[in-house]
Amino acid sequence: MKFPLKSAPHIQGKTKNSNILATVLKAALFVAVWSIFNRFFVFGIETALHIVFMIIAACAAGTAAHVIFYYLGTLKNNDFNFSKFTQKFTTGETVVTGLILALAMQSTSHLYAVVIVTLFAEIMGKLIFGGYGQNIFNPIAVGLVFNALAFGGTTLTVGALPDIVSAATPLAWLNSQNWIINPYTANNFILSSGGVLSMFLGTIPAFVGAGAIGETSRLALVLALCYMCYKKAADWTTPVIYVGVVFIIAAVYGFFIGAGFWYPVIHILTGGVIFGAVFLASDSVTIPFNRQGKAIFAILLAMFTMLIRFNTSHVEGVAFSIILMNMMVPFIDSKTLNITSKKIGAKVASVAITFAVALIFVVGFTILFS
Amino acid sequence: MGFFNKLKHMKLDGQKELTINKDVVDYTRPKKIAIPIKHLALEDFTVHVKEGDYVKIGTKLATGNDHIKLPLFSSVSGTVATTEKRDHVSLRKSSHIIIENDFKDEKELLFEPKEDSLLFSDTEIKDHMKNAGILGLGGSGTPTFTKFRNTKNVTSILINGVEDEPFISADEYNMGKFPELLIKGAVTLMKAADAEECVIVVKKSKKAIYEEILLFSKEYRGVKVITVPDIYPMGSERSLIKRIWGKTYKTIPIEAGVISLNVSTVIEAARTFASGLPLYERVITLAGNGFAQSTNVKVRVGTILSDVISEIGGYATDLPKTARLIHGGPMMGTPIITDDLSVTSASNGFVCIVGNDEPEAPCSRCGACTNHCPQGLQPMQIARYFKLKDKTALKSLGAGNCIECGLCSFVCPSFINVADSCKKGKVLALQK
Repeated sequence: MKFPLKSAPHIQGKTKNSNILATVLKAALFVAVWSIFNRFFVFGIETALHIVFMIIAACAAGTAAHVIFYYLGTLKNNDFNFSKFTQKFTTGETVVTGLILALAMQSTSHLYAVVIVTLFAEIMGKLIFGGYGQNIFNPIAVGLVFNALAFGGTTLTVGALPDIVSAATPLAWLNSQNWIINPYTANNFILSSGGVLSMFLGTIPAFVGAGAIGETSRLALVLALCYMCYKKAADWTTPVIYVGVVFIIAAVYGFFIGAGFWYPVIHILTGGVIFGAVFLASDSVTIPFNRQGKAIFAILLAMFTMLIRFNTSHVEGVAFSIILMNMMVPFIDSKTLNITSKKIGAKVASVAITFAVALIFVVGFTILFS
Repeated sequence: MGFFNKLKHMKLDGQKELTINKDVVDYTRPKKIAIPIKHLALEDFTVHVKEGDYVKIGTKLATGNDHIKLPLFSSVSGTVATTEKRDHVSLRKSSHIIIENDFKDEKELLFEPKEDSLLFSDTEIKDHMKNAGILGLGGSGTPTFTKFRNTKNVTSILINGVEDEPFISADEYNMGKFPELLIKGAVTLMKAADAEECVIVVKKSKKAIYEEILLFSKEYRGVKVITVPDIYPMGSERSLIKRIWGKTYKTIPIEAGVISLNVSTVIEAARTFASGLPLYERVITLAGNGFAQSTNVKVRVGTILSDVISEIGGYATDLPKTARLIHGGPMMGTPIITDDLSVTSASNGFVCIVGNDEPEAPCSRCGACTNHCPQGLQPMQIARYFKLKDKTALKSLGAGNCIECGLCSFVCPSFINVADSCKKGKVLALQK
């Protein structure tokens, strides 16, 4: 009997890329279903249906981008292979970006905006670099920045939304104040959004209404992250350090402007911090690969997020900072020490110095120039 | 700070229960055997027999023409039929001596055996090892006596019973069945090397074997039995020596004052001292879902593999074309393209499994290969610089330290064969 000649090892571990993608897809779907049901009970069927249509449009646009790119790629050598073609879709690679991108967009976005943003994110963020694994920037962050710049002002009126839409979103309002709010206003803000617990669970209509779909419930996002970490599809390091450093910077700044414990909590529970931490900062393709690098990445990411929040009036601070940090990943990777390196002192020192610099820079800059 | 440098450990699914609890199939009466006139890279042998000669078990067939002078023996009694070119497990054709078995099992002693091998003097022990051509049975096939040539600064002997390849359980069978021989051989070899201590290493999960060996080892001074965690890779002599004595070395363990041996080698050496015969039969593992049944088989050295496979029931009925036959375990074993070849004394088993033939996906930079590498290398970087054939970069990445365990490919979620590039990169890095 004859056998093929293949090099060792001849067995393979259970972790597969397609499994990782499937896990992320499941986590994102869980968040999507949670949000859809939430909107359905709060605003009724029309709003929920609009979200479903948005998600379908995003997934279809992502798939279309892949189809077009694959077809164009085969034109040169005329080697269109149908089995290869279908294989691409069974891994879920084509819909995962679209799904998460739809979740990160406002529920009042136009369907055409969703389609254009997804096409832009897939093509400019991922496909022109050579597809999954080759991209420098997180495609979702690319899409979000594009959305903020191109479709920032356009909103749609669906179902029972109008009176919420007419008011600015909580985050936009906070941004217009540069997050510098006195305890009285803050108290009102928290009360109007139903208290800290309601902000975490996402049960209050006024607060839920106009935000991004996936940011409805922080609880759902935390559960999604736990699921991805349990299935080894994501590393907990970057998300947890990111949220932690955002909390600490906000707490220190809050101390200087005389705010209390509620101030850092508002920072974490509004806007895209937790969403960005769970779905953007955990994507292994666009973050450093060792622990030291991941810690430094997360700290600097928090620094940029807080700088944008305090000193500009941009809404997508998380997406902007993710893109800024993605550019630094090759540099961080080349300068950090390998996992087995015994220079633990150097590793700890580098992370501590980064943290101190980030903290002093953000707080000092904001206090001096605002 | 475990946060920054906690190496991830991988526990492989050993699958040893497929074979270890079953009775050993006896296939020691083959019709014919084929002894390869080849050992490692050496093919230059002086053949002492010709067609039609009558040989017995232990008759010397050939001697190597280098400084080792390795002898090759017949493992059955019968007549030499012919010498022909056949496939060898090293994937190259080489000449084999074919012997027809007459099933009389007549024996020719190499030396006068003694019931208690400790009665031999140390020079006698070394001579007998050389004359009986005892080889490392862990898979390397190094002649054992070469490790005993210069024993001036040897302080310890390491007997490696870790066997961390999945499926293969030949060593475990030998350890469980002949603990007394193992200790006897260990003490004899300690005497030959004039070593102070002898450390037998077994895996933590093999508790019964550990306790049995411990019981026998108590009679002798200097024999220690220790356990190591059940993770992969554990059985590399380099990491074991570092773990036990904290010593490192460049090329061979003797530089650190340690002689490293496999358990089966020690057991076979003890058997040789007691019988006066060379290694002529051994237990090999045939396992994997490609075979009709997985079992340990006792075979004569030189038996044709396809005969052994048909003895245990042949291949599984619906064997796909992608199934692989592997000489050794599935992590580090070499693939073989045909089953029409002879079992060498260094073969510890053959595995037939359906391999993973999924296409390579692009690297998703998950860091699994780096986080699992027992040598602390960056396999994906090495693979990248191997493609560029960049020797200086490979050297600075330490590609020469790769132990070829294959774990980087095993854990890769994108099915990139990193291990293959690392092995080739190692060769490049070790060049001047």
